Amino acid sequence: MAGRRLEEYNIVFFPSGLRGTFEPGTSIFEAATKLGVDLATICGGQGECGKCKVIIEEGAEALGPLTPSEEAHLTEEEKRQNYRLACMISLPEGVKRLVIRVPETSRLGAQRLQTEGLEVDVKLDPAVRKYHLIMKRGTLEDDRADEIRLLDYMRDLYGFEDLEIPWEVATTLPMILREKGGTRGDFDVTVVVYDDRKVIAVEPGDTTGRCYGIAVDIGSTKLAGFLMDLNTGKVVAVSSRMNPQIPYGEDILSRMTYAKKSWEALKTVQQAVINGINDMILEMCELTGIKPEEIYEGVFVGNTAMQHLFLGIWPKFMSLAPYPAGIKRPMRAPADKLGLKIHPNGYAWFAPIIRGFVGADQVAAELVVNYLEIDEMVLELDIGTNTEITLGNRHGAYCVSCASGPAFEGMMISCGMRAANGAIERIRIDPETRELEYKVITGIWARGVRSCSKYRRTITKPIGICGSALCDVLPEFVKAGIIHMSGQFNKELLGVDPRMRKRPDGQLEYVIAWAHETAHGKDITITQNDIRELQKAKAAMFTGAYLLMKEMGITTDDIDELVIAGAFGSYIDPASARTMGMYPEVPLEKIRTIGNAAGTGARMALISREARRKMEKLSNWVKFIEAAIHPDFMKVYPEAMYIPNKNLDLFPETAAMLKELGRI
Amino acid sequence: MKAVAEALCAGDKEKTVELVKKGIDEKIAHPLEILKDGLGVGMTMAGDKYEAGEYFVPEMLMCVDAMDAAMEIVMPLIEQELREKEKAGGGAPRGKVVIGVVEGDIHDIGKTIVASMLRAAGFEVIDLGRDVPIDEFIETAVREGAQVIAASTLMTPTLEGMEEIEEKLKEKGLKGKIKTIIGGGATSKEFADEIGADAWAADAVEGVDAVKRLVEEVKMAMAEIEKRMEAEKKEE
Repeated sequence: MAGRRLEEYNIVFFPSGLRGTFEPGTSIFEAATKLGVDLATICGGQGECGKCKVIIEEGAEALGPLTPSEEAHLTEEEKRQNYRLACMISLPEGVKRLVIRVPETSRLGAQRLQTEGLEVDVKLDPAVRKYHLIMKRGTLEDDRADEIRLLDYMRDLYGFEDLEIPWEVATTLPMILREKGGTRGDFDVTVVVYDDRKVIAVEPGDTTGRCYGIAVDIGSTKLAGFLMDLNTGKVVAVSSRMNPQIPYGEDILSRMTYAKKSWEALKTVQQAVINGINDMILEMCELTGIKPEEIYEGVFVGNTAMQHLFLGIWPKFMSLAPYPAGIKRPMRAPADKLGLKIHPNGYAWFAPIIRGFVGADQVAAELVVNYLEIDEMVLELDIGTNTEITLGNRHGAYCVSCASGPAFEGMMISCGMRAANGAIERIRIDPETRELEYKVITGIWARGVRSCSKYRRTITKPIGICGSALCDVLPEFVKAGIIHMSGQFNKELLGVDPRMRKRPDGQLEYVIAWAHETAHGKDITITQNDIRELQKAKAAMFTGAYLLMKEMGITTDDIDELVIAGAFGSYIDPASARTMGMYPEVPLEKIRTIGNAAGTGARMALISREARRKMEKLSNWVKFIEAAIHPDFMKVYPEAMYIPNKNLDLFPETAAMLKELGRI
Repeated sequence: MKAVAEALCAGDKEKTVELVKKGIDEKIAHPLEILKDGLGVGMTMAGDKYEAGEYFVPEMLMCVDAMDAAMEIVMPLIEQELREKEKAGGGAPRGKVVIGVVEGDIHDIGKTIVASMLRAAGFEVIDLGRDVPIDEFIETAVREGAQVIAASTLMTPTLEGMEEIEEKLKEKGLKGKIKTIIGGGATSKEFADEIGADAWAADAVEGVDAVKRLVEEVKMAMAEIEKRMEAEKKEE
């Protein structure tokens, strides 16, 4: 499922990957605003504040000389590195492509990145534990080696029978033991033990109060990191950012296509995400005063592609049918070898996956839902470019993966954009009068426990439409009779409703926001093709859910709870999603959102080894079915393209409502 | 004939089959005529509706379903007749197309619609299905004497396979003798140009037009070659 190719655009912004085709002479700042690129400004593009610094990575030579404003705002070093002010430059004539990087310092971080998830009670039992020891130093009568002395004390005081002291700890051991007590005093050290088996560090004095870990949700678009106190199980800092791998491919498939070109390409993509995670670690450490060496473990959760690209596992074959994953079980990698900036002897632990397109993120969601222990029948969906769905209870569960495509993320949609400032996030249409209302995301503050952004941008006029509003399009249009159940525009409105009109290319479209209401002075519309993309996406999701129900032999009535995981899922209107037939028609009170389950699962696994064992069990226990080659797929999928469905028996409530409105 | 076309376009499988059967049993129309003026026209009508935004995948699939059912009745008769004609040494052979979803991809709805529309347009279509090894495309095309290979993929990682088709055709000196067309979600005009595919189509309607053109090109090129060879023979 690819978007358009990079070459088709003449301005590309990294790291967001946002791109577009613009007329020569268009200001880069204007282009950024139109595309919804996160770019700081105070003066609004007047060349006064110097906040919109960007780096020109391709096409710098075609731009004119520095303006006086740029001379004033850019340092010599920045000038050398092709820095410019976005508001002072415009797309030159005859340039094939401008590639522009927005450095972190010029970003607000205002993209709505969801990092929160449910807080779940887990028994505190992290893999990393610290033990304080005060040991009598040796005498001529007691000349045990330092190593043996330490092991003896650990056995006598804490009951460890079989601890390993690896070489990298042994080299400095004699020195560290004697650092606190001077030449004659007792040895005063703290021993850091990993998984009750291995000593990963010995530190002078009592450092037991300072024991940290990070939990990271590696999303293909976003990274969410949590710095946690392993003594208390509490989150002490949160950080999130765009996945720096985006320049190598917007969606996971094109990213894998890039990475499988060569070993070097894989390493580049791997390094990108590790750098991004290291940046987050540094940011959180700065906020809290915690040192990176006081972080002993990182727990990582992500889909199978992210797992391969983070661990550097050859990704070629998992991108091709039958999509075999390189590894499935939990994988532990030494932090220093991976290049992770935590304690060098620490570990990265990547959660287990189910298979090719059902990764650790889905296992995490299954852990949060607690499939291993519940009696209720729960249908859980993680909505995204690839939608994973699990159905079952403790007696058995099935999962499925559907290539739903990026339509609900605003891609492949003519006026689509990500959930950032200026995005329309809700659409409401009066079913009788077709009076239209929309809500725009304005001035989001940055996120996190202790982070905040310095500047607030106030775009109050819309630029485009983001996923949560796209989710309203099909149901609101059908209810108001703007489209038929088949998704086709109701031609009878042409000439009756001024919002309905024919485009130059012959397609029909419906105006959501008129030019005078928008930030860029152009109409924001939904076209027939947009409708089709949304239909395909929602049909894929319903088909997945429905095939699982058939496999389990249950009907909609048997579903006790419908759980929506993932960032996108927590912003959509569950009623809208249900009316369009994205999932089975369960009563609204049975629908619950659990936010970023991957992040929650990562946090649970970081502080609880029991949670890790459950994840491993789930990864083997939940059975997978392949939707695309399921014998019923060709019957269910086309029917699910109708809104809500061609088979109205599955949607009695919606059918009754549409009947009452006279739509069917 | 018009009734057949309309029933097909409406995706009414039972009615289409009923009308086709009636047409043949009562000798109202010749099977070839039914294919061309009934089913062919019906699929074109459906294609036009798709282009106009009126039809979408579900409607197209219903037409395909009706088309396939009707073809089951008509095709054996046509095959038989063509064989007899060929034996008698007359009649121009139809264009032949080998179609499939490339190795590593299993998403085949689009391919199925295209295959059906090609059949409706009178082509002989050999549908290799999904997850088709690259060599199988080429071997089948050579064995069957097809003029066109049509390859589809929805996913990006499998684009490579399409490039491989081009390379292998070149290697074997078949480029030009067998023309290629690609399509599917992950493909684009630029990609087709980049790898040297002979055509790219955004949808089934464009695909049929492009295949018509490609088949003609191959036939003309082959005729040219034959002419030249004959001329050379004469000189000798």
